[in-house]
Amino acid sequence: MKLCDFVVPGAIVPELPAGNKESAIRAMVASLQKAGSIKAEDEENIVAAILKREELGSTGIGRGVAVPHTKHGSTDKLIAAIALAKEGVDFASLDGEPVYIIFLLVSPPDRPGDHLRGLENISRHLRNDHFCKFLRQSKTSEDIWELLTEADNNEI
Amino acid sequence: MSEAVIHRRTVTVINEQGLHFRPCQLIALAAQQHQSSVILSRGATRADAKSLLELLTLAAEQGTNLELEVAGPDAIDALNEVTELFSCGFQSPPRSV
Repeated sequence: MKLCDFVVPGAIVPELPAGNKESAIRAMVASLQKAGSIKAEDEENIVAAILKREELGSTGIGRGVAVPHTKHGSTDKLIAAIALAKEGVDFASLDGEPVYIIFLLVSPPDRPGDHLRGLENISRHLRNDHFCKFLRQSKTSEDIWELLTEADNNEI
Repeated sequence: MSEAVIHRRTVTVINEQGLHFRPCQLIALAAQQHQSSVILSRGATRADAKSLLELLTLAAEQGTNLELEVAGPDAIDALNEVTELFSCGFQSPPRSV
């Protein structure tokens, strides 16, 4: 599985408006809806599920990155949105640092393996300092998509 | 001498959803409580169990066997604690951070 297999090109938000964890998650789920990956009537329910998951423990994983996620019956395949927050968002991460890169995942409940492989893929690339640095420096959706393609091809 | 000993055990992922975010978080929190090094391996992929990011790279589904390697002054405690998490399918109450 590659990043470009599950990141939705139309759901890349290169600059989130300043805000908090909830507004960031809302903006990213809205981008998935606008891209046609989830239905409008499921949007609020998905936001609520992701926020509920965050209550169990923050998905801020350090290095300025968070991976909010949920399993939801409205999608039949793993999908992801990416957003950059230049100002940083307080995600209540374990390391106490703000988050600048957010990967938001929605996966079907009956495909736990795909969810694991999505998390594996993202985590593997996030261990690469160059990938994190170049991602944070990206200005446009096209820049980010190009970076994901290079990461998939092990060119970073 | 005793600190050089590596204690090994095979652990199995028994929970239906596999080693997703929350189980990895519980393992990392448990491993971080100990001075010993704690490594989980799946084939050639080795993860420092104190790092959530590294644990997530294991992508271990239900039924996967992982090799647990622990070395250090409190190795037995660390080994037992991490093994217990796998044995109970990560159902134990979250420990306070």
